[in-house]
Amino acid sequence: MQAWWVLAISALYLAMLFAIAWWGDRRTNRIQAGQRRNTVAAVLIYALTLAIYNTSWSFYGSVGRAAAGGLDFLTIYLGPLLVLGPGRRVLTDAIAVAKAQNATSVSDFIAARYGKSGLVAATVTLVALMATLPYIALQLKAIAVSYDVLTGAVEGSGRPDLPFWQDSAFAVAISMALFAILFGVRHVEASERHRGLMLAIAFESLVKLAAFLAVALFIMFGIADGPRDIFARAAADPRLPGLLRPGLDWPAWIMQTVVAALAFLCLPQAFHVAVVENEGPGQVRAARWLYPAYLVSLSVVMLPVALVGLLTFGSHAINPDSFMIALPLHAGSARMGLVTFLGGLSAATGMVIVSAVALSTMVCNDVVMPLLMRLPQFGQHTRVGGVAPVLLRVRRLAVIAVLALAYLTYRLTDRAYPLTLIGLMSFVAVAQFGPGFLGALYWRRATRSGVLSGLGVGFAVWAYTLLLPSVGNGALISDTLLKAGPWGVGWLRPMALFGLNWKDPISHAAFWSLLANCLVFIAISLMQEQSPLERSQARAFVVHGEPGLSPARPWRAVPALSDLQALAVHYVGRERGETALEAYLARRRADGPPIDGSGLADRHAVDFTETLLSGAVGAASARVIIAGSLHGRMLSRSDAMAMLGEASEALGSGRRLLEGALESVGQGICVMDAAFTVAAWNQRFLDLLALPRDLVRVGTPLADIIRFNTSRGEYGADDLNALVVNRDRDALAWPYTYVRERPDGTVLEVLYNRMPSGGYVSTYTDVTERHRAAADLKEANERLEQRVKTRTEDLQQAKAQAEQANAAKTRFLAAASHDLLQPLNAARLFASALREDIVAAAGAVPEGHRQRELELSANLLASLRSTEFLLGDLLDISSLDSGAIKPDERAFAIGPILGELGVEFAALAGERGLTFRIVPSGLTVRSDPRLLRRIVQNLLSNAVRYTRTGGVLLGCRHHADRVRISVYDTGPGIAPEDQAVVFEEFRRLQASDTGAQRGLGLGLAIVDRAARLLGHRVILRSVMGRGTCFSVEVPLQDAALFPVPAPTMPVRDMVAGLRVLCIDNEPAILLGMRALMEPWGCRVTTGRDGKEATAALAGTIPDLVVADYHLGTAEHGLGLIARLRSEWGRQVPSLLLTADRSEVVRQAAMAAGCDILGKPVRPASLRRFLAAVALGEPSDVGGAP
Amino acid sequence: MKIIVADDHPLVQEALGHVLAQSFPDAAILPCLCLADVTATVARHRADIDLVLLDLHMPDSQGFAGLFQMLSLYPTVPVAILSATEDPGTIRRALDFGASGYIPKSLSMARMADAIRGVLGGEIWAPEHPNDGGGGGHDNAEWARRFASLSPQQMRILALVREGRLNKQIAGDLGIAEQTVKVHVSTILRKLQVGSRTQAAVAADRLAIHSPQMADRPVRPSDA
Repeated sequence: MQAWWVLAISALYLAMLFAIAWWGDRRTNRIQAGQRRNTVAAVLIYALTLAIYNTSWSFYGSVGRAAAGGLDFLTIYLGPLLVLGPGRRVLTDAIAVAKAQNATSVSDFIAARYGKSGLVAATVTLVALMATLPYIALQLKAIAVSYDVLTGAVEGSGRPDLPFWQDSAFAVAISMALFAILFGVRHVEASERHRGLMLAIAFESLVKLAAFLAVALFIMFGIADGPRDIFARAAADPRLPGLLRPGLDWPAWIMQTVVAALAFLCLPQAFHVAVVENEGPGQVRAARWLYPAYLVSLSVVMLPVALVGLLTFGSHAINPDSFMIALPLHAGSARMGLVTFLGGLSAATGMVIVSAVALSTMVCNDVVMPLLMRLPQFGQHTRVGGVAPVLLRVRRLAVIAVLALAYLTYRLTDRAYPLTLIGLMSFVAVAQFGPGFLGALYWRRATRSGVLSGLGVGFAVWAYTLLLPSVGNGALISDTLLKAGPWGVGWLRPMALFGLNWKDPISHAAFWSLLANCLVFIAISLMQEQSPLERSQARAFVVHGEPGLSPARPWRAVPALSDLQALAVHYVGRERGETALEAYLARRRADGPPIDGSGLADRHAVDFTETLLSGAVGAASARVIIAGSLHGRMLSRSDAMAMLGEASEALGSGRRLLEGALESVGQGICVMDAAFTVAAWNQRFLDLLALPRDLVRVGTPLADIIRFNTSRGEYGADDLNALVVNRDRDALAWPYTYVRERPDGTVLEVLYNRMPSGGYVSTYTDVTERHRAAADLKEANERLEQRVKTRTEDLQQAKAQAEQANAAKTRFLAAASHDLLQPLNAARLFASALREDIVAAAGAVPEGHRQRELELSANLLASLRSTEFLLGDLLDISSLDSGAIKPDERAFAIGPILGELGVEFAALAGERGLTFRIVPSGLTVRSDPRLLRRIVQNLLSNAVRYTRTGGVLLGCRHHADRVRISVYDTGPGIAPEDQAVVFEEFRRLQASDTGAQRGLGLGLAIVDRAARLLGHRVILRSVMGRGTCFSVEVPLQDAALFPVPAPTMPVRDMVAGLRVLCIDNEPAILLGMRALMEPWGCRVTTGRDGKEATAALAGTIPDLVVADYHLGTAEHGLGLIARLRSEWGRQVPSLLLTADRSEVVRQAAMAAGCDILGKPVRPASLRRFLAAVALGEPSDVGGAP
Repeated sequence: MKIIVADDHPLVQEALGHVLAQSFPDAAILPCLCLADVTATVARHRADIDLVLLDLHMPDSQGFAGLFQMLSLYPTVPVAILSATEDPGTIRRALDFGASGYIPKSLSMARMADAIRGVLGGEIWAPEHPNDGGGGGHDNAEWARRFASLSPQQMRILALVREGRLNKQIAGDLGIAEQTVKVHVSTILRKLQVGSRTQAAVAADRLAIHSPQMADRPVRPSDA
C-alpha cells in the first residue's frame, strides 16, 4: 500500500481525535462546573477510558504471545478482572481517598499518605518514569512496525535506520505531544477532569475494539473457515504442540496476574483514568461489568487469530506480533490491513497521550517544582503573574521531555525484542508501588521510611533480575555473570536467584522483587515511629471519608482568611482560587464549625487551602508552601512584645493568640517563669539553638536545657559566665544582652528581660550576617591599610630612586664638567702660546696679516674662556641642585666684600663707558660670605652687561632686622611678564640680544638657587626703559652682640717660626740665606763654622741645620753636622748644600742621614725642605723603598 | 732647569709643555703620566729637579697621597699642585699639606708663568681668596703631620684600606707578604693615632678630593 495513503489516513484520524477532544472541552465548558454526571454517557466513557490498559501491546503483542504460549496471554487480562471484580473495594477506596486528598497522580497519592513526603513523591515519580518510558517506546515501535509492514517496507531489524524526520514514530510522538499539551495540560489543577481528552480516549478505545474485532472476524471467516475449522487444523498440525492446552506453569500464571493487577492500579496513566478522572462511584459500578466485557471480547478471538497466523506462516517466517496486519495483507486485503493499522494507532496514541499527561504532572509537581521553590529567585519571579503560568509551562515542557525520552528509548532498544516482554518489564517495575499503595490504604503502621526502603529494594531487585539480563545480550556485562552469577556464586545468578529456576524470567523477577519489597517495607515500618503528620494522614487514608484534621501544626501562627485566599490565587490562578475559597466559606457557613468573626483562619480553612493547592502542585509541595508562607511572616521585636503583653491579659482564651504571636516573631523567644522552668517558646527558638523538639516542653527546667547544651559542647567559656551571671538577677542591669557564637558558626544576640510576674523572656536574634559583615569590613580595612603601607613603601622607594638618580646626575655633571674643563684649559693654553708666537713673530710676516692673526687668536681665547665660564656655572648649578654645597653661615662685615667687588667692576664698567658707584656700608650681616659674594657678583655682572648707557649703583640699606643689598642699573628694564622667568636657567630676554654682549643665562639661576639655599629673598623691581634693581635681603647681625672676628690672617706659613741654623764659610751666602728665609718667618742663625754657630745659638738647639759641604776647613759639612748632633744629643734634620754632584758625596750624606741640595740654592727646594721638617721628622730620608 | 709636569691628560700635558717652553725657554720639561713615573724621573735625576707640577688626579694616586709620598721620598723637591679644581677648601688643604703652590689650570698663560716663577722663587703661590676664614687650618696641619709620618708604602696601603680591601687582597695588590701588610696597618693606625681600620679609612678621606665646592670665580672680563 502507498505510504502517502497510509499517512493521509493516519493524519485524518488524528485530526478527528483533535476535533472530538475540542468538542468535548467545549461541551464541558457549557455544563455547570462541579455538577455530577452519572449519565449513561459518562459511565460508558469511564469504562472505555479504562481500556487504555489495552495498548497496541494488546493489539499486536497478545496475538504474538498467544502464538508463543497459548493461553498465557490471558494473565494480563486476569489482573484487571480481579481488580474490578473481587478487588473492587481497593479501587473505590483509592478513589475516595484520592478525592479527599485532591491527589493528582499515583506519586502524589502515595506521598500524601506517607507524611506528604517530597522524597517519596520524587522517588515514585522517577521509578514510574523509568518504568513507563520503555512502555511508551513500545507503542511507538508498534506503530513503526505496523507501518513498515503495511507499506511493504522490509520488516525487522534489517531495515536501515531512518533519520528521525522520516520516521513515522517521530511524527506520531510529535503529534502526541501536541495533543497532550493542548488537551491534557490546559489547567493548573491537575486533579480537574479533562473531559475532552477523556472523550477522545474513549473514542479511541471504541475504534481499537471495532478494528480488532473486524480484522479478527475477517481472519477467522475470510481467510480461515470459522473457528471450528481453525481448531481442527491446529490440533492436526504437529507444529503446534500444547497451544490449546491450558499451561501448567502455575507460578508464572499467579505472578503475572498479580503483577497485572498491581499495574492496572499503579500505572500512571491507569491511575489517572481510573482514579483521577473518576466522577463518582456509579462509574466504577458500571465499569465493573463493562470493562470485563470489553476484555473478553478481545480475548476470545485472540487465540484463533494466532492459530491462523501460525498455520499460514509457520512459527518463524514472520514475527507473530505482526500477524494482525500480516494476515490481511497476505490475503490480499490492503483495506483490512489499514483497518488494523488504524486500530493499532488508536491503541498506541491513547496510551501515549494519557501517559504523557500523567507523567508530566508527576514530574512537574514532585520533581521540578520542589527544586524551583528552593530557588531564592522563585518567589520574586512569580510575585506578579502567580505560580499558575509557571506550572503550566513546566508541565508542557515535561510532556515534550517525556515524549522525547520515549522516542530516544525507542530508537535505542532492540527492534526484535518482543512487545510483551517490554510491557511486562514495565509492569513489574510499576508493581513495586503495590506494597506502598496497598499499605497506604489498609495498614496504619506503614511508615515513610518503610515505603521508601521497600520501593528502593524492590526496584533494585527488578533491575538486577530483569533489566540486567535484558541488556546483558549486549556488551555491557559479560555472559558469565548471567550464567554463573557474580564472582561465580551460583545462587546469585540474576535469572535464578537463590536457585529458584523458573522458566519465565518475568515471574521470577516479579516474585523476588515483590517479596523483597514487602519484607523490607513491613520490617522497616515496624521498626520506625511515625511522625504526627504521617499518623494523621494514615488515619485519613485508612479510615477514609472526610479528611481528618491535620495534626497540630509545628507553626502556630494565625493567618487571616485573606492570606489564604491570596495564597490560593497565587498558585491556582485568580478565578479558580477565589471561587474555590468562596465555595468553601459558603459551605462552612451552611454547615460545619463556625468561622471566626475577626477574619482569622482556623485549622480547617488552612487544611482546605492546602488540599486546594495539592490539586495544583501535589501534596508534598502544598505542605511546604503552606508552612513556608506562614513561617515567612515576620514581626518586629517590639510588635511581638506588645502582642505578648496583650496575650497575657487575655490568658486562657488568649493562649492561641499568644502562641500565634510568638510564632510570628522573627526572633527565637523563650519565656522562663519564676522557677526557671520553660513557660513558652516558639519554633524559631528551637531552630536557632537546634534544640530537639521533645526536650522543650512547658515545665522543662532551665537546668535540663543547660545540661543538654553543655553535653554537646554548646557553650564557650564566656557563655558559661554569662549564664552564671544570668541567675543573679538583682545584680544585673536589665535588659541584659550578650552575643553568643554557636559551635556551627552562627552568632546569636541574646536579650534577657524581666517579666513582671517573675522569670524572664530571652530573645534570640540571628546576627550571623551582621557579624560576618563586620568581620568583612574589618578585613577590608586591614587590606586597605596594607595597601596604603605598600603604596607608601613604593613611594619611598620611588623617592629614593629619584634622589639617587639626581645624585647620579650631579656626579655625572661634575665629572663631565671636570673632564671637559681639562682639554679646554689645554686648548686655551695652546691658544695663548699661539698668540705669543704671533706676537714674537713681529716683522717676520706682513703687519696686516699679523694683526689679523692676533685678532683671530684673541677671539679664540675669548670664546674658550666663555666656554670655561659656562662649564663652571653648570658645575655650580649642579652642585647647588644636588645639595652638595653646605652653606657656612657666620657673621661678617659686608663692607669689605662689596669693596672688593666694587674695585673689580669699576674697571669693567669703565671699559664700557658706564659710571659705577658704590655706597660704602659698615653693616654686619649673617650669611655665607662666599655664596653672598657670588650672588652680588652675578647681579653686578648682569647689570654691567645689559646696561648700555648710564651707570650701575651698588649699595645696601638697613631695614629693621634686614639688610637689602641692591644693584641698580639704567638698563632697558625687564617686562613684568618676564620677571618671573628671568631666574630660570638659560633664560635670556630678547631685549638683551640687541647688544653685543651675550650672557649665558645662568647667572640669575645661580643667584636664585644660592639665595634659596641661604634663605635670602631676592627682589626684582624694574621699569621698562628706565632700569632695573635687583636686591638680596640678608639678616642683619647686631655687631654689638656678635663681635665680628678680626679679619683672618693670611695663610699661616707652615715654615714660620722654624729655627734654622745656616753654616757656610762665605758670609755673602749666609746673608743671602737669611734674606731668603726670614721673610718666610724663619728664625735664622748663621755661623761660618762650628764654633761661630755654637756661639750664635747660645745654647739653643735649632729645628734644622743647613750646612755647606765645603767649609774651607778640615772639617767638611757632614762632619760638623755629625758633631753638632752628638753635642745636642738629637738627630736634628739637616740639609747638606754642595756644588759637588758626585755620587761619593751623595752616598756619604745618605749614610749620615742628611738630605742633600745642589748649589746654587734653589729657593723652592729649600722651602720645600723646611716644610718637610715642619711637618715632622722625615722618617726614611734617603731610603727609597 | 728641570720641571716635571705630572698630568695624566696628554692634551693638558702638551699644552703646559708649550706654555712652559715659551715662558722658560731654558727649562727642560719632563712629562710624567703617573706618580710612579714622577718618582722614577726624580730618582733618575738624583733629586736634581727644580719643580714638580703635580695633578691631583693621577691613575696611581688620587688626591694628596702623592704629595705626601713625594715629601717623604724627596723632601728637597718642590711640588706644586696643578689642578682644574678651584675649590677653596682643596686649595687650603694643599697648602696645609705642604704644597709649594697651587696653580689652577684655568689661569691665563701669563699668570701661570708668573705663578711658576713665584714658586721657583720660594713663594707659596695660590689664587687669592678674599675673606676666606681659613677654618680648619689647625686641624689640617695636625693631620698633615700625621700623614707626613707615613712611608710611601704605608701611604699606598692606606689608600687600599680606604677602598675597603682586606689585608690579603692588599698583599696581593702590592706583591708583599700578608704579615707585612698587617705590620704596616698597625703602624698606620699608630701613626694616624686612630683605633681602627675604619677610622683610618675615614682619616684617609682627608686626602681625597670629592664633592665639588662652589669655587670663587673671577669677574668675567670683557668679552671684547
